Amino acid sequence: MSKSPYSSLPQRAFWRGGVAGAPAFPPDLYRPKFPVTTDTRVFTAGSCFAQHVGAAMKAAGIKVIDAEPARRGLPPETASRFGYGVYSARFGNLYTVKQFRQLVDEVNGAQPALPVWERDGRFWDAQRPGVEPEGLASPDLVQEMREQHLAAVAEALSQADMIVFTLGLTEAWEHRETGTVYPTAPGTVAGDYDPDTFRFVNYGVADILDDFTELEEALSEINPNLRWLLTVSPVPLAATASDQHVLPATIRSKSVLRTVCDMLCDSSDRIDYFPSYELVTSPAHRTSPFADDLRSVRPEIVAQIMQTFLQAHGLCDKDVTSEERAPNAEAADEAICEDILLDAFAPEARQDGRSPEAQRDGNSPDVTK
Amino acid sequence: MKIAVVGTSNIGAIKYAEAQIAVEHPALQITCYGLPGRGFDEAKVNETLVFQPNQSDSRLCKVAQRVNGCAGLDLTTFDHILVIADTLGMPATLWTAASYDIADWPARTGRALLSEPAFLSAMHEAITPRADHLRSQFGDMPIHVALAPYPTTAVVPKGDHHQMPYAAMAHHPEAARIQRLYRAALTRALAARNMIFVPQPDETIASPFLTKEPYGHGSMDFRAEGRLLNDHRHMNADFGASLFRAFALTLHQHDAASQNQEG
Repeated sequence: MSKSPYSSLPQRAFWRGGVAGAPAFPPDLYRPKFPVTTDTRVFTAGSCFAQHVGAAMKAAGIKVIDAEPARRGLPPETASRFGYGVYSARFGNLYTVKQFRQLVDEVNGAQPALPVWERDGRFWDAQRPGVEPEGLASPDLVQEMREQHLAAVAEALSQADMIVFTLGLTEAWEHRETGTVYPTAPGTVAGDYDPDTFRFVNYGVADILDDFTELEEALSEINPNLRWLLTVSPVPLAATASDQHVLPATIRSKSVLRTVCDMLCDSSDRIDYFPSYELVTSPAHRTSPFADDLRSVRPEIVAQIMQTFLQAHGLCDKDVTSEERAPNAEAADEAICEDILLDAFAPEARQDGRSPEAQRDGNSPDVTK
Repeated sequence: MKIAVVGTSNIGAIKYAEAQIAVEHPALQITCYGLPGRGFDEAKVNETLVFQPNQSDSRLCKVAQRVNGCAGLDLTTFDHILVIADTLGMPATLWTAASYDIADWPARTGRALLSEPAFLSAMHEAITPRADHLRSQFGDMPIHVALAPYPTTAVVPKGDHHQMPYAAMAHHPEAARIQRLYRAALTRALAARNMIFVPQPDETIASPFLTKEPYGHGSMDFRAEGRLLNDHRHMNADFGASLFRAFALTLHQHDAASQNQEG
């Protein structure tokens, strides 16, 4: 048999044996660039899938920073619904790199445009509408709570050794005049959509790389020695405003984010990528890794993904089966995602006679998947 | 009219006020049935509506027999039932209030801010499982419910008797508002489960969530008359008489409202 550059490669390099005929969660899939230990102080952020990552890390004893913890007396369901203990501070989901960059800029003194959105006499922090599901009584309160929040974010970032960030979306809504980006479309949770004020954007690879570079520069003022662990959310778009079908729009979005991760990883020893996206979308699953809505990742899959991550870092002793993981996995299924609210605007939802606002009000449990 | 007074060790206040109650309310004939706190939590009515301890706990069954003169209490023989229950989510509510400044309220102490909707949600979440549990203990029977009494003001000063989170309420600028909100939430939660709340009488309250200190003097163990407690959590017969007056008034108001509705 003649020699080939492939002849000395290990089995993990070949589809047959690496995927076909291999476990759906191959133990040699992920080789960490740098260790994560129980002493690593981790800052978690990102799209809703990142909530699972943070929860699994906490359960494994990793020092996940919580700068705005649920204090004594605050019960778990309320804490989670109001964004306590979900990420390293109560910033809610950061779906885009630009949103993260903007948050750090704000910590450093910048001001986003239109920071307060109103609905029915209540007021929401436009940068984190999900953490106060019922809104607040006045714009001043929104501002006061935001100032306390920003101080907590600064504290959390200054303590961190590593940021775990899950990239979720490329589509977003911006303020036309200033470029301020928002986590939800105006009019979804609060506010009103005015096309003269807001514009739809669909970031490309270059946009996101630029945002990440600026984010790192902004972070260097707070904490210059941060390492990154990036993941891509496997959760498909709830809706697209791109004029494409939502399926190619989803693949476009995930492909861009995946490309960005690869380019960032290749550019720095301080940036690692964990292939949670690949573990969900792998064809090796015998049954669908998605729940009946074909968006939510089934809890046992999430548990196995996180098991793969922890094993790679030597942070769990044995191979835990999905059945053994099931109780924790159920808890992990409670990720909070504002983007699912867009379902209320779908044509079949509009045709059932209720306005999107009414469905939004009447379907608050749908916010949690 | 026959009244069952059922509950934890806190029924002692009413048990030792029976003579005074008989004078004040000659038409009401009371029977007390108490179990130690944890034993009460596991007790419930059986299929014939006899309230009894967990039958697998033989020691507790013996205690029930010795203290009450009967192993269980047939609740079908009573016209009304007053349950003196646990703290029904109050400690968690007070801990939350003591841990944060509620953003919607004017006071600022430098604590982290919590929105009023989050505070109300926390209160609801603290009350709900306890109200559900209490309902499950008494089947479908309508009951009146009193909270375990607030501890006395002796728990406020630093020292042996100091007890958080109640002590924090002594100087909390919003304690009155918290008490009003908590009572309203508890009233709603109980009413939704066919239970009527009997608030602790104002005359016994020193300040929100704290009982006047003299009501703790001479409190006795419900299991043995003459054994003094004086522990700042259990109240004396004067308190029991006052609480029973509040219950009787609630009973009267409820009966009057029912008659008006029927009329």
